[in-house]
This record gives sequence, C-alpha cells and structure tokens, in this order.
Amino acid sequence: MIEVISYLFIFIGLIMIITAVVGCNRLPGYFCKMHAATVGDAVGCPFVLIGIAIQSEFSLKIIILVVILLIVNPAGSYMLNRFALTQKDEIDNAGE
Amino acid sequence: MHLINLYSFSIVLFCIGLYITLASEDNTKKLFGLGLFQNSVLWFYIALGKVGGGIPPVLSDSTQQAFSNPLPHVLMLTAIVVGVAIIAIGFILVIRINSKYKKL
Amino acid sequence: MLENELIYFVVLAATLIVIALINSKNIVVVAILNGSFSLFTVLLYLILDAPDVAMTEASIGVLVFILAVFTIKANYKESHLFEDRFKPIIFIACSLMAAGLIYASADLPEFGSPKFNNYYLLNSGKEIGINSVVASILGSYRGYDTMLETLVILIGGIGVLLISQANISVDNHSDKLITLMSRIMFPVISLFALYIQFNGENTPGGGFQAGAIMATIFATYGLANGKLLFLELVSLNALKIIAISGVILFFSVGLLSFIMGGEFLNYNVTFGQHIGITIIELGVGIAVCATMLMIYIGISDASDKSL
Repeated sequence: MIEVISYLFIFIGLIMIITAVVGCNRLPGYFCKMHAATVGDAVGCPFVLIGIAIQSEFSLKIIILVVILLIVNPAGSYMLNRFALTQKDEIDNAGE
Repeated sequence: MHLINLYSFSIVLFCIGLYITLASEDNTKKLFGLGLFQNSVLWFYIALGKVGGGIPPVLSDSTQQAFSNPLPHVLMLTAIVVGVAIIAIGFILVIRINSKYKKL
Repeated sequence: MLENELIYFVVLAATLIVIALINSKNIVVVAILNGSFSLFTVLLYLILDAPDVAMTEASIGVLVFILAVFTIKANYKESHLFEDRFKPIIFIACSLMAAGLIYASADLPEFGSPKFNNYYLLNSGKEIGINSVVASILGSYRGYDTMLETLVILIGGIGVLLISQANISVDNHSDKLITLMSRIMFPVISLFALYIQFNGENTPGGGFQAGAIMATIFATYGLANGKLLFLELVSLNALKIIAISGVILFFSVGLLSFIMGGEFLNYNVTFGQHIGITIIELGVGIAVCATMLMIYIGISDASDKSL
C-alpha cells in the first residue's frame, strides 16, 4: 500500500517535469519560458524526492534535501529574472 | 562488433574535444573544448577499472564480493582538480588578453 | 544487466550534448551545455562504481561554471581571424586519429571483465585498517602523488593571482533576497563540507571534495553580498597563508617521519595510519579550499576591472 502511494508521487513528479520541459520549448519569450522551467524546479523534483522518501521510511537525508532544494532553487531563478529586467531593452520578445 | 564499447566512445569524445579546441574562433570556446578533452581521458580510465557485477571499493563486514579496481579512481581524483587549475589559468589569460585588445 | 541500459542512456545524452556544443555560436549556451555534460559525467561515474570521483566532479563542475561566467562577462568577439578553409583539414585529421586509436584499442581486455583482486584490495584491510580503499591508497600507498598534486594546485592559484594582479577596488551592489539566502545556506553547507572531510576514511569523501564544497559556499557568499563584505570575511593575505600552510602541513608530516628515523611519509614510525591519513586529508582540504578562493578572487576582480 505504501509502495503504491510512493509510485503515485513519483508519477506526478515526472508529469510535472515533462510539463516544464514542454512549456520551456513552446512558450514565447524569456519570462514565459522561465515561468515554465521553474515548475519543474519547485514542484517536480520535490514530488519525486518525497515519493522516494516514503519508500525508504522517511529518512532524514531526503527531507533535508527537499528543504534545501525549495530554498535555493527559487532564489537562483529570482536572481536571473531580476537581472533580465534590467536588460529588458536588449532581450527581444521578452514575453510581456 | 566488440569494438563498440565505452572505450571507443571516450576516444571519439577525445577527438571531438581536440576538434573544438583547434577549430573554433572564440577563445573561451577553445577552453571548453580543452575541458571536454580532459574529461574524455577520465572516462577512459574509469571505464578500465570497472568489474562487471562488482561494487564500489569500500570494505565492510559483509561477505567478499568482486570490487571494482580502486587504482584508476585514485589517479583520476587528483586529475580532476589539476584540470580545474589548468582551465582557471586559461580563463585568466583570456580575460587579460580581451581587456588589453578590446576595441571600444 | 540493468547497468548496460543506463550506460546506453548516458552515452546517448552525452552525444546529443556534444553535437549541440560543436554547432552553437552563443558562448552562454556553450557554458550551460558544459555544465550539463558534467552532470551526465557524474551519472556515468556512479554507474561505473566510482563514488569518490563522482563527488569530486560534481563539486568541481560548479566552480568551473562560476569562473566561466566571469570570463564570458569580459568577452569580446575578435574580427574574423580564423579562416574557414582550415576546418575540413582539421576534421579529417581528427577522424584519422580517432580511427587509429580505436583500432589500437582492440587489444584491451573486454569491458567489465573481472580481473584478479589486486594487492590493494587484499592487503589494505590488514596493513592500514580503514574502510575506504581509495582513501588508503590516496593517503598512504601513493602519498607522494597526492603531496605533489596539491603543490600543483597551489601553483595554479599563485599563477592566477600573478596574472590577474588583483587588488580589490570595485564593489557590486547586492540584493536582499540573495543576501538572506546565502546567509541561511552558509552554516548548512559548511557543516556538510566538514562532515565529508572527516568521514573520508569510512565512506567516499576526503579532502578534495570538501575543499571544493567549502569554496563554493564562500564564493556564493561573495557573489551575493558584494566584494567589501566578502573581504571582511576572508582577506587575500589570509588566503595565501592558509593555502601555503595546507601544503606545509602535508610536507611536515613526511618530515616528522624522516626525523624520527623512518623513511619520508612512513606513518608507522610516528602516528599510526589512521591519524596520519586524517592529518594529510586535512592539509589537502585546506589547501584546495584556499586555492579555489584565490582563483575566484583573481578571476572576478580581473573580469570586473576589464569592463
């Protein structure tokens, strides 16, 4: 029973990552692509990791890894976007 | 054919790295080709040390199994960090060359 | 075996990345592709039973990308000096070399064939007694190699500082969110680096990985907070002294054995193998961390001054 739940989490996480990749390819402009790419960062990877953690009896390493991932990755995307705002005249088709 | 294995692929990467180093205009891209060149040598050596059905060479109290050969791992461990030092000197040379000959 | 399918996947991904790397003109795309090639290299090393090398490649790949960003900032495209008519000749020469080397590699033993257990695996448990065979070879059986490679890394850092002529004068502006994130992450990652440093004997780890991870978090702090706050944390003179003292620690362990009547780097005379290897890994970790920070300061300052 526990295994079925963990497989469900991993499956949802993989669907989110595929959505992020498809969106990053198909959407126009820099900001829309960034919007799609961070979905894989902030939703896809934690779901896969929680699915693995359920199977291995909630080991502390994986929980700490999820927390670090949720802190660090959005900060990196924020830094990129803030820099891109200052370059708004040079990025063509900035997706507004 | 028994020639299609990981050794041949690392030799192909070796020659692709050499091609990028020789045949690109940008100085920075040449350094990335040099990095690929060094990385391919590491692939070759670590593929030499693999034993099929083996486990990483860490001793434990369990029963004896076939371990992978630890000697290539040790040699390549220092090779990675030395490669970074070489590429860092390449970067600083490129930056100084660009700052001296930059057209405004 | 499942391992064979995973190797095919890694080889396919690496091929696609390398083909994209040859053909792309934008230098930022090349840097990002280099980083993703490093990711698949780490995956391949894990499949080939080399966790030590995988950890080192993962932590060093981050540092190379940080240095590459500074080089790209100071980049400018030359006029068309390189003539395109040389490219077919280079391509033919590289293909001939590849064909010759692949023909010569037919004499190698088959991939994954079991070889006999070598001397280190059989005798490392009795003579040295630590669990990780890689750390015992690195610290004790091949200690000379490690000592001189650390010296080579230090020479690389000194060379970067000399060429860049770094005297830090330019300041960056910082942002509140990135400052907060770097201050949150600093103790967590430092603790992790210390854990890897001192557990290098029982699990995969050691001095090189720990030094690289520690240098990464210091460099993140410097990128986030600007150069003046970074200089309040570490000063360039302190880094030079720390890097050299790491190498001197290594040499002095060998000299101590020499003075006490044994050979150079013979730990049985002075400490015993466990303590000897721990001190040596500490020296290597300190030297690698300080040298990577020296390289970071040199490259970032030269790149900012050239704009």
